[in-house]
Amino acid sequence: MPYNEAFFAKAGLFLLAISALAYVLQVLIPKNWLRNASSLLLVSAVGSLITSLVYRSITAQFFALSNMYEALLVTTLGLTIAFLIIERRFRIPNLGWAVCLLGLVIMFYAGSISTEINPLQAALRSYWRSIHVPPLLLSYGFFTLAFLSSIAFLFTDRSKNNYGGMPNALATRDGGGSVMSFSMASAADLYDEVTYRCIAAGFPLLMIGVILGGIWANEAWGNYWSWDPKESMSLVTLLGYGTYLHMRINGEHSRRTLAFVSIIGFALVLMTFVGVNMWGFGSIHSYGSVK
Amino acid sequence: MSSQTFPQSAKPATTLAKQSNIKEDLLNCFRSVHLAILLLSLLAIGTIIGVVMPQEGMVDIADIQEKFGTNFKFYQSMGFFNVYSSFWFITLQVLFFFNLLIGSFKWLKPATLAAVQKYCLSPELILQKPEVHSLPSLSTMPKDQLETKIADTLKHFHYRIYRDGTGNLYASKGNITRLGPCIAHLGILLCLIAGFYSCLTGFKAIKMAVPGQTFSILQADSFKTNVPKSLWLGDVPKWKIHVNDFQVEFYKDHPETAKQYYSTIQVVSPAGKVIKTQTISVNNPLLYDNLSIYQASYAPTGRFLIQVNGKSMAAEINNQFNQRPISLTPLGDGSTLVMFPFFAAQDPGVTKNYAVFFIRRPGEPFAQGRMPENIRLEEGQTATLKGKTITYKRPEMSTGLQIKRALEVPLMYLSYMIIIIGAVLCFFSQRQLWVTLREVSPGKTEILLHPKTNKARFSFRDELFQIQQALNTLVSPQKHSKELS
Repeated sequence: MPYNEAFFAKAGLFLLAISALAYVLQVLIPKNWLRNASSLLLVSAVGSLITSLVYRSITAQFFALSNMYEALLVTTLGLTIAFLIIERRFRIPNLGWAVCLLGLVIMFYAGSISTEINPLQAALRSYWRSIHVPPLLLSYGFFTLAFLSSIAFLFTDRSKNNYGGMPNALATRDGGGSVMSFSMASAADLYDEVTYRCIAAGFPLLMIGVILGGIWANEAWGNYWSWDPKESMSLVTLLGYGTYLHMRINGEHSRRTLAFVSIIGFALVLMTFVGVNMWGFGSIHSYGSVK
Repeated sequence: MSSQTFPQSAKPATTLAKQSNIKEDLLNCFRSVHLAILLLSLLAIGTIIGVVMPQEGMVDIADIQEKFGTNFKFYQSMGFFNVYSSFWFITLQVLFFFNLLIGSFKWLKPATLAAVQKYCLSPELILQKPEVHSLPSLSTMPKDQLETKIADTLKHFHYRIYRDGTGNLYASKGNITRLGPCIAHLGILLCLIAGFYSCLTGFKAIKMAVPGQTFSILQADSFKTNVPKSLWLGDVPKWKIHVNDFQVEFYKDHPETAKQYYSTIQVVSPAGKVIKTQTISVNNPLLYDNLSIYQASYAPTGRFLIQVNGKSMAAEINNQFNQRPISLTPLGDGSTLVMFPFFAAQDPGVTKNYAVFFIRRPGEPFAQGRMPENIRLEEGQTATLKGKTITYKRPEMSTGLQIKRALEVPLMYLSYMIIIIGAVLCFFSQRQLWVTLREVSPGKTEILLHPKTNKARFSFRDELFQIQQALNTLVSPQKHSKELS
């Protein structure tokens, strides 16, 4: 079998599927070696998908991020990379399998639409494309993770499950002055924190992407902002997550409310990413459409 | 009389108090996070309406009227077809501006204080805090030596240390991040101010021009200032723009897609002197006199450059045959040159632009039931038809130029940079640790820690766990080595 773009894309899919299984196993058998193996498999899947994108870029002779297939591929990468980053900080095995499954669904959908390499429109022939789009798609990865974490929070918060294995180094001074007591942090606490950190990471990335897009539009057409539906929806997404962050700072809203706001935020991401083109709101970002 | 019943001074004092309360309430309202949340939500909803509803300028108003029928008037009165210029959307933006302005100044002082503060807590004060960690020391290390060791340990974790010299330490990192929200807010304010400045001084003009044409900015097809002209403070340069040449480059394997398009343009002084010449393309504008000239679009003019017997002429689309646009060009000898143009970009199955020509003699019927003698020429090709040598040069294209004066660009880009810096800083947390040494009995010292962070509690907790481990090896080395073994 030739080692080409398709080979690495298929290998990436296969490794994603294996990672999903490994993460499921890790939930059932919480062992460290299984955790490391799952992460390693996911890293391999990411590596394989990146190689596929590199091959595609070499064939296309430009950075292959100009149509929906490529955007979905990079979004999957954004999601998995965001998860690997968050996983280093938080032990969240319950999100691992969900991320892998979601990645598989996105990739299968990407495979069902046109995978043809199209020539670049004149407007897209700019280095700005390579720096404007990746932060946006990486932010979508973080927001997707925040969405999954919010769902997990709503489930765990209701069932009052406790998450095991997190040493609570903030154990307060108890009576005789002993330290290093270990207590269990609730799973809901963890998911709430993961949601917040994902949104806190995704928000500046989205802002950077939108701002770079504005600068590009000004360099190309002399317009920072033209209230194009895609632009407007990205602003709505920014405002949505801005609302979340302000509600969080305000401290007067319950964590359940915040989880729902995060879910609404993700609906806005979906609307921005695929909805605008799918429902034909007439965006100049026509290259984001599904063929 | 009432003036005798109530002392003169009492009434103004109450009024003053009331006024002061109203002012205070208004200020409190404008700087509240609640208002920020409300405005962010309303702006988001307003923008969604703008996305979902067709907007004037993007869609023809007649089409909107047809689509919405009897509801059209209602939606129009609500500004739903012109959301971004509607009164209510602009009001929301203005409120947002003031909320940002007043809110940012409210938080600027406490955030700056939190970023620069350095103070230690004595054991008595630390013990009053809700979160205190204790490490009983088993070592006989003198107090000042232990303090130095603790400081070194915290430095290893990249903390900046402040010591008051009495065994109390303050360690912190990420102080600058406390300013993140204020910096981001100020950036947004600057961006809004730049936008306002742009409204007052900027303009935009669009001109579809053919090579050889010279025009002044005021002669453009559309010239728009960003605000009504009575409020506009800008000016329009007197110099002119001359279009020397225009070329479209198509992909060889995708002739329907333009790879790039180029206009060679000149800036010409009112006296006719060429000041600047540049070939512009998409993403590569000409910059001169605080103005940018962009290659925005191109369009066929409906004319085709041809040569008949060596004489250059332009064939113009002026007729239709079977709903297909055609050109009928009189050749001067009574005959007419009929031209059917075909385009790769719009005709299915056509991979290269070409045209079919035939010559119609006087009195000859147009359609005879069969195709008359004809020639098919691609761009640049020449052939002879009924004794006439015909060359099809190319379709004439007009270049779409956008001319924009944007004095606010440096200010706008600066605001973008500030917003990005602020937003990135917002992600990171400020971590603070107050440490003090308390002598519990002669030779025995207890280390008390009070940690504080504004976000990222879990990773701070992990770090604190490591710090405690490191301090443990310091204060009870025997215990630690026992644990390790």
